[in-house]
Amino acid sequence: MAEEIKITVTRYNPDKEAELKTQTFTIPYHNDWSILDGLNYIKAELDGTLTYRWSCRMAVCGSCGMMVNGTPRLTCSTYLNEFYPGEITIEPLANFPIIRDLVVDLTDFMDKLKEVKPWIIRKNKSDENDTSKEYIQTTAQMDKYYQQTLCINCTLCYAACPVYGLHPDFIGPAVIALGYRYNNDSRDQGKDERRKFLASEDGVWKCTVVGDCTEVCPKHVDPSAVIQRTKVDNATNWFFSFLKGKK
Amino acid sequence: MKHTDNSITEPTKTYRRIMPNTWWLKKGSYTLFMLRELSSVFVAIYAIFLLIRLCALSQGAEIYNSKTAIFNSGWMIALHAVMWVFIMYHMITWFKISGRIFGKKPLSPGLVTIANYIVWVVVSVVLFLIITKG
Repeated sequence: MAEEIKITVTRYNPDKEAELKTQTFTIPYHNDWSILDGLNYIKAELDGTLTYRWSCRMAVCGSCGMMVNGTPRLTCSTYLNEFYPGEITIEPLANFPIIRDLVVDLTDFMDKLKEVKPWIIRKNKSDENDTSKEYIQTTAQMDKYYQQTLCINCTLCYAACPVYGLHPDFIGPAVIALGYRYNNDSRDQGKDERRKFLASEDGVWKCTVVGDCTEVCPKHVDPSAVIQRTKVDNATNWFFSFLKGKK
Repeated sequence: MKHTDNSITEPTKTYRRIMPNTWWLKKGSYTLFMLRELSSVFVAIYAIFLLIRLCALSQGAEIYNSKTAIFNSGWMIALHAVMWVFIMYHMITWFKISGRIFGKKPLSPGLVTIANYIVWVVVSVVLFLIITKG
């Protein structure tokens, strides 16, 4: 008899149901199948109404994040063999509103992402469109922010963050990490512009250093450390502004 | 729900999950986080005890002995033992975090954390020598 594994998924149809429910599927077990392969099997062979996001299948697009046995994971890079012969429970990413089945609403994240201005800002705005200028950067300068460029906006860190779960106004790990990435880019001059957002009431100071954002990050962006560094930077800036009599 | 300028098909009905008050019991790392937060209470209590002792000390040996006699009771020693465990946990977690915050090239996070421990040991030894030989 062929080996099998059970996958229990969250089901929610906003047009028909007021509450979430679960459904268990038994699928063939293959040692080299990812959980996303398992979900694709369910959709193709067992229930075509199962709804979930996915795209690249190589941990780059960041769209297939789900709660796998309670932990936020990219389902394309999490394999059935990690759990076999045990069962697997798949839920939508925690802390986000659910649209349908395993799909969550990322509107809040997208709004915050835009507010941190994740692009190069120049004091002289005409610089931003002037392609004739060259801004040379050394590898040492790039090292200062390279780790944070790896963020794929998968929002696993938001699903792992109890502060975001309890206070959805919190800017959150990935957005702060992206703010840090541009603030530490030698070509950027937008640190003061971003500070208004990052040091706001819902900014870095809301983080209580749980640290799970860093644990679940599939790209090792280390948002937890970055948030604390941004706190140090904001506190230092406030202190020197105070000494200069600006505040 | 906030609206983005360019959202075309924004969902009209979503399901919001509410975090239960027991959320911190569902995962080991969350429980450890709450214990670290709780450890701050013991740090504060110890600081108050220390201030009480210093205040009594400034009033002379006799008053110090009478006002701090309670610290020699069994339950107080037990409380101090519990506080010691929590304060150690508090210290270890923050030393670890400080390594990740300040551990940038050329300093590695591990080196920063080790430096914290070295400073802690040196300060403790110096204080011990001052107290016992002074």
